[in-house]
Amino acid sequence: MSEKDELRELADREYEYGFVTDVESDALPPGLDETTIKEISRLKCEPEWLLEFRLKAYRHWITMTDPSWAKVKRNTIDYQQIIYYSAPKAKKSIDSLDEVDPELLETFEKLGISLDEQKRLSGVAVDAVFDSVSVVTTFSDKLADLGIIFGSFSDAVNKHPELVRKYLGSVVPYTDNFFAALNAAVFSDGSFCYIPAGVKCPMELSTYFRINAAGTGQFERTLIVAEERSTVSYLEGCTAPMRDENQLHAAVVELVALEEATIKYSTIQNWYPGDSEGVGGIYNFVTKRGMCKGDRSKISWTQVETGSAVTWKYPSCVLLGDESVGEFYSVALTNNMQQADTGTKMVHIGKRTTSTIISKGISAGRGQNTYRGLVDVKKGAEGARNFSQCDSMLLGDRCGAHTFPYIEVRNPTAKVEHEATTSKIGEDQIFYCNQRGISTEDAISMIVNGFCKEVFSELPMEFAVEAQKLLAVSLEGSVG
Amino acid sequence: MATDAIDAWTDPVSTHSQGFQDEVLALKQRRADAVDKFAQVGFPGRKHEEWRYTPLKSIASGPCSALLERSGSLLDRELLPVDAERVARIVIDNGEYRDDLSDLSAVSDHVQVQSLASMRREHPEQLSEHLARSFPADDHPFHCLSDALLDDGVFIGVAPMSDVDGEVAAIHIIHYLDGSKGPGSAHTTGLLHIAKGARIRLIEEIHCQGEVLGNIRWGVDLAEGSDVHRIRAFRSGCASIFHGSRVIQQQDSRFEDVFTCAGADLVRNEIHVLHEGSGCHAELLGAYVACGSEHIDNHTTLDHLVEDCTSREVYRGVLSGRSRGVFSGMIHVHEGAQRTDAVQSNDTILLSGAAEADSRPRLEIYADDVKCTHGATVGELDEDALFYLRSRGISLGQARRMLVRAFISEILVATGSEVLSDFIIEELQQAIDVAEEASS
Repeated sequence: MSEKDELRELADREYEYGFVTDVESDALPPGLDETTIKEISRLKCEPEWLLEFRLKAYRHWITMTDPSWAKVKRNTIDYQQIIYYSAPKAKKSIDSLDEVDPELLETFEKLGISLDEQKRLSGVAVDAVFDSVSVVTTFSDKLADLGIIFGSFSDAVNKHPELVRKYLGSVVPYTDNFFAALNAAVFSDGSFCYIPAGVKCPMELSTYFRINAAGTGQFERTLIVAEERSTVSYLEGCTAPMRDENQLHAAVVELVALEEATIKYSTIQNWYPGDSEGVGGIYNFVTKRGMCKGDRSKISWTQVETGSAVTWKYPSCVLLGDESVGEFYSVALTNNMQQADTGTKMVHIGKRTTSTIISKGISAGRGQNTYRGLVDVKKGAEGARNFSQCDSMLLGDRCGAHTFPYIEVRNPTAKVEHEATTSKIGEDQIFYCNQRGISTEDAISMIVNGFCKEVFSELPMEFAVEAQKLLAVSLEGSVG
Repeated sequence: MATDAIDAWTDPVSTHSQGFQDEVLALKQRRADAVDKFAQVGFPGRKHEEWRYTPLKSIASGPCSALLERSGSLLDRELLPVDAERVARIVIDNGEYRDDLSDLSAVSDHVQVQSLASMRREHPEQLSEHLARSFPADDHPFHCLSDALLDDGVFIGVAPMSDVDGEVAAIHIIHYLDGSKGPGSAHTTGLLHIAKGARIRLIEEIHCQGEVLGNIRWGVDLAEGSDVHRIRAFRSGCASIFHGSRVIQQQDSRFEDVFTCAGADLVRNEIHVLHEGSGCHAELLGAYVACGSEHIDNHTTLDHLVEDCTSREVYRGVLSGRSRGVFSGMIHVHEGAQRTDAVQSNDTILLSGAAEADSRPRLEIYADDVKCTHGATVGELDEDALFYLRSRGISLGQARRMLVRAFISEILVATGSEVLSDFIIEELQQAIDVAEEASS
């Protein structure tokens, strides 16, 4: 049957972005103890308080055990085999793109994010993280005029220690979970973004993360603070080269939205998923949480997860301010042996807080896709409102789609609704398309894209295009 | 888990279990294994995923670890209105099957009823086989207790009726749990075996007094084309009850369960249905109200193992006071169980600011040609509906009653008897009224 062929073709497809760039890198030997942490801190010329923070986190981390409650099968991780710091050999200072390692630029070009191009055409400021150290930052002058701080985390630690110190760990404390503690202890770099009061950030902020050196776990830390009445949209996109070892990625993202501020955080994740037998691939264990601290603030998460061998993350919103809004839009695609256990937590604390959850899971091959989400309405959350919709689509009879919603309501004026459906692409739908001269392959992409439309429409334009492309690549070969 | 809590039960359980005589080695072994297992696991705490919403602390502290003795003092309780001439009656008093109070004259010969105590003596091998099939060894604390303290209960076997036009056999099972002479627990095992094409209707009710723990489990085996319709009424004022059913369905069989609860200190209602043959249908319905600090915990698991089976679950709760209602449902569609059609929904109305509803409607799906939906809603009574009624001259109190009644009535329709459904709705309604008055 032609549909089966399509699915087989999709299962046989190899990872497109698999290549390794040869850049000399400075790396610490594998292993983790207090000396490693002190060394990371020293290499990055960090202030004393940050080292203290790292050590506290590390001491807490060693008391914790690797969690196993997620519905994923994975190898145990040997945390002593991981290289916790690797930096491309730094050039002293970078004034223009010309000074950047040409090989590095080439890598970005292969990924389709030529900095030049971006700079000229799309007006997107890019803070590119290559392994662990930020190499180039564009548009910072333009942003600086508005008082926006956007740059690498390390820079921010040196230039704006008071801000970093105030908000670091305020949303995701190092005690939060095993991977958050590990990240707090060893995080190498990441992005820091601060939008002053009343400023509407004029461009989409975008960062590309890329795992490169073999055996390097990447532990970025992103912190975005939006002051009163400010607005920012942040994009994060990922691809990684092909590796046979499982690589761990345990990032932490913290968002703080003060009164009437809006933060939109979009992610496209397309890391190496392992081969068709499930060998290799990235473990993506990320803690992402936003705090709607002020009244009428809003945090919106949008994610398109197509890569990684194991994805395990729950971008969440703590709705503390009255009338604050949390949103979660997600497309997760698992193919071959990929596994995803993802979803969100919406914690309603403030009055008249609202949240929306739209989750679309697509399973193909032998992929396992789990939605796990919590809607928690606390006692004081007068008039809280939640709507959740989790739809799953199964392509093939050997994959799995699971839905584990948790709904906890302690306030009678709250209205909470949850809906979920599971479906496959109907023979009749395919037949209908075939009959009108649309090939089975095109029909599948059309239907899958239609299935995900609600989420794609939430993405910024630049990303919406990439998302559709990714889905197409992941599913067959072309999308009309 | 607190080890003190385990100790409060481990020793009494071990001592009591030695007081039972088992005729065959298999039963002896089963009992001994259960005692060991229970000593290991005890009562799980909140960290255990399957028990995170069930507070077992007060049970675990051990006041009910003694075994209840025959009482007979609750016989004056008002029973569900069933037609005594057509419905047989089985009375289980503090876990003991009471021959003298039961009346089986209404059922014909094709229904075999035997106390589990006599089955233990007379057909121990058969009993051991049934138990092994219905309750495979696991670390469920209440199943361990049932095995460790296996004493009495009831076996009901239904043979196919020769007369096609014959009326469906109906049995009314009454559990009395009386702790007025001192707290304690009763552990009852029921076995229900329905032969090919046979049908039965069960009406089970539970009455409590004093501090008791009722641990009731049912192993239900439905052969090809058989049909079970069961109504369970947890009458108002229940203490702590665990009620677990494990239902195994063969081809084209049908199992329908209507659970109602008019309030209880702590109820854990578990149903696990396995569809082993194609064309099965299971219907699990529930209506419950809770007030004060009551806690009602519903756990359903549907294992769709083969193709072409269907299931429908609807659980509805009304919560007032500081009560807590839990629904944790799991639909598991196994590999190859194509064309499964499963529906699961849980709706809760919160009448007070201190009540809490937790809902966990889960799906686990390993087949692509399936239709599975689940839904959950939590909220207060619809303002618009209330306004509509009030604008037509109906008082607020009356309007609220009407809406609550409408909400739970939809479930009770499935009892198939207007008299029974009216009676139960009235009792549920009263439980809410009392709570509302107390809070206002």
